Amino acid sequence: MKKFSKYLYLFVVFVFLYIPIFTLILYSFNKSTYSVAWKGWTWSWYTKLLANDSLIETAIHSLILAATSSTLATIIGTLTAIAIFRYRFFGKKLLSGLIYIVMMSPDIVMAISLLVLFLLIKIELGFWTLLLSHITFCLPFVIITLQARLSQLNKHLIEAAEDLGANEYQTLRYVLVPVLFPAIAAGWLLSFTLSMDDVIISFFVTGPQFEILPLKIYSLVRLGVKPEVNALCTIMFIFTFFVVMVSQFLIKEK
Amino acid sequence: MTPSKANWLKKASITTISLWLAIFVFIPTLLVIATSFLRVGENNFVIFSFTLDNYQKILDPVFFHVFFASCYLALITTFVCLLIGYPFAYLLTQFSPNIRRILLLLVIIPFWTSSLIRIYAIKILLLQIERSLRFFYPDVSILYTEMAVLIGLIYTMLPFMILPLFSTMEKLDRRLIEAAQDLGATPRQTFMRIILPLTIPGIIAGSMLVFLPVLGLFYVTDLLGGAKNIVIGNLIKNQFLVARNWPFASAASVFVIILMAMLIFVYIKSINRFGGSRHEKVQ
Amino acid sequence: MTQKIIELKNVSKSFGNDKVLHNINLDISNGEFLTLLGPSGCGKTTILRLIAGFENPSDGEIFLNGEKINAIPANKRNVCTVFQNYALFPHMNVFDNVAFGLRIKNLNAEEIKTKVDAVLKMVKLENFAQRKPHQLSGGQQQRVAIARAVVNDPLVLVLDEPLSALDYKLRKDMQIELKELQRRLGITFIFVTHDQEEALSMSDRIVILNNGNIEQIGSPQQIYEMPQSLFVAQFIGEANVLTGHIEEVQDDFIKVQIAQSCYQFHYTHSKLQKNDKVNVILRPEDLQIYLDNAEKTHCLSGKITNIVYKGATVDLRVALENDNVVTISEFFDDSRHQKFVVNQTIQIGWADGVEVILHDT
Repeated sequence: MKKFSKYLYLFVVFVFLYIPIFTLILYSFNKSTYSVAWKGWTWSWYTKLLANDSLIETAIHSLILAATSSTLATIIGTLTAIAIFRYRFFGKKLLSGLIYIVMMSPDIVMAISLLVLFLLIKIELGFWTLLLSHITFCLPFVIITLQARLSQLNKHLIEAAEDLGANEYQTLRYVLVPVLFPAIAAGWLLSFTLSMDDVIISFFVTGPQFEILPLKIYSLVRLGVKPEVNALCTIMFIFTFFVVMVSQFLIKEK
Repeated sequence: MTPSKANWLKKASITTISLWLAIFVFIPTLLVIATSFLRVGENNFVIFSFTLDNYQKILDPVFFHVFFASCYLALITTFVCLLIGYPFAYLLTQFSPNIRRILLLLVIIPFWTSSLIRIYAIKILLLQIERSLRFFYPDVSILYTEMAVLIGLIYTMLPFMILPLFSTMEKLDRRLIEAAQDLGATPRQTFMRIILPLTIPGIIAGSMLVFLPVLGLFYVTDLLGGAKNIVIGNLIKNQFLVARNWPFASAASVFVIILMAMLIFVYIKSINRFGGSRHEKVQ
Repeated sequence: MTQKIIELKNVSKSFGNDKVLHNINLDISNGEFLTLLGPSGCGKTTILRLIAGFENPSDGEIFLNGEKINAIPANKRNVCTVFQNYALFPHMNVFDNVAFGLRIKNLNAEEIKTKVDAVLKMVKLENFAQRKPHQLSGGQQQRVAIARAVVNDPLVLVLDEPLSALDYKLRKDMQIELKELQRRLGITFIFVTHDQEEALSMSDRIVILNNGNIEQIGSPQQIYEMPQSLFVAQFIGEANVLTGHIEEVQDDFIKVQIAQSCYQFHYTHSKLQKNDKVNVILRPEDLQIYLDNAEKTHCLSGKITNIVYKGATVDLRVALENDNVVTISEFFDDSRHQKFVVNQTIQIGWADGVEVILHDT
């Protein structure tokens, strides 16, 4: 009986976590346009989305932004994680602490700070400001994903490579990057989702010329519940779902 | 590990990240702090004269209400998430590693899903529930109440509480619990004296990950709360983009930064005090 | 004297304020099997890492083949390392692991293949070339690690507790294999271990380290039979330490007072003087036990406190009159040992010359 109540508790919490999402997915197939009542199945909202050129353009903007920012964040983040792992240097503890603080700090604080910076140095708000901001908030996640993998690594691996004559670059190229590859890929994927999903920071640092998907979704959901929006949100959720599955598979311990 | 011999890769990595954090985190934060002490000019620009007005304004009843209500909302959300999440995370640790991995994945997926989409999703559900209930009670209203906002926030933030709790509990050495029981502790005593103190860092980390973001989630109001339940995020957004009062928006932001600094301080203290168990793991 | 391959001259090493090596002087001859032995934290691994190039000395000089190598990084030294947990590259198969060093040197593919195949054959892994490290047993991984190092024709091979991860039986086999390999290759092995038995059975010479100082350097026999310090005596094998002081010093013998009795030893030690405190070291296997007061010159009386049967041998613990406890190890002989019981008063004797007398400092 006690065991049963434990399972029931877990079950109820999982239902709470997933029922809204399933409702969203279900209603993205609802024929009814205005009412929340169920009127039968349809694909039409999805086909409508695909026919919406401005939406597609926005999505392409977002994909470009996410791919660029996550790639750059992954490169910088990987090198940082490796540097923290293998070298002794001045301010190492401070740097690691700062990375955690950046990860913990609420989006609204980072948003305001970056906007003040961009306005002050007079960069035009748009792609570049979005890119710089997205790299900034993705960095700690890449670094921490990499650090989790590095902490399981045999520290002598690097020494073994050096011992066999490899220089810094060769050690990185032939040993560290291949060994860390799953974690690097996972870091990239997580950055990609973060970038695709971010609303708060993007809202502040975006400009009128470069519209991106999460902000588009924000402007749509403000207008109320609509089946096209349900379909769009469903696509976004499924996208996140797959990315998380793949990244978890990549970083799972051997 | 060739000491003394500086190499370009090390230099390049450390320089890049240090510059990046300096330019995009450290300097901007200083700028916000500086701005919070300035005055607003006529053309919606700042005037470089020192003032504490912006902080005094936080105490102005109109704005103070927002700060107070916002913190109150965040506090309740944190508390309820902890109440639901703590036993949940503990139960997760009881499963065999394979099942645990799957169940954990089910928490990680919402963790990574955009909170905007999740708030929108719960809005749809609440709409459904409201519609069904109105069938019986025509006057009932769920959406655009404080309750709706709270449910939405709890729903969105719950994974952020569960994951840090789970990771501290997973590190908890099972043998400590067995040792306590072996020494005659009742389940209640075992919990109060062993499990709870050792999971305090997780509780604080989880609370931090719930409390702080809630203050900034300005779209909750847009989706669930109507105009009544606004958080600091809404205030900052309006002051910055609509009222163009940068100094006051900055002061509000500094307020959040100070809260964050305090929570981080408490977190570090708790790790130093209660986090010792991790080092005692025998191989 | 054979050629010196490695020389350490007044080498010190500190990590922050923590000085882990104090003025180490050590010459290593070409082709010898040298073991660095000591308890954990004694500095043995640090010496190894200094030789391999993973650390630089804080002070002093290191020479490899007569050339000063203080500032030469690990990847430019002709010294190869076998790491404690092997540190095989997990993403490469056995062949690629072994070929790594040769590829870094840009050898052509044919040459690499010939060399790698030859060395894999030598460690009996020619059929495992395509396996990944995690598909190998501990002993096989160990062999890959050795192959990966020796394929580069190093002047010196350093091994950091390479056998510690293996189980007892496999460790014994690998000890013999390693020793044979070293003889066949003719290169210098510097071996780090905390296992004294391993050190005694494999080494040409042993360096005993304690707290960052060299306690003694010598052949296994010298180390065991002629320990120069109490630490060495107690670290290597078991040692009974009897405390006493010098009663009389003569040209060809000394008299030592232990407990209430006085003992005469044929011993000439220029430094010992009357009234000096000394420790008399006696190995358990050098002691015999007697029921009666036989007319032995070296005889102590005491009470048996414990008898421990160990299969081939039996250990008897005896409390002496001055409360010192002595262990005696004898080959087990049923008819002889059934005469002894706990609490029995017995006599302990030993042959002249087996004792080591150390000045108590």
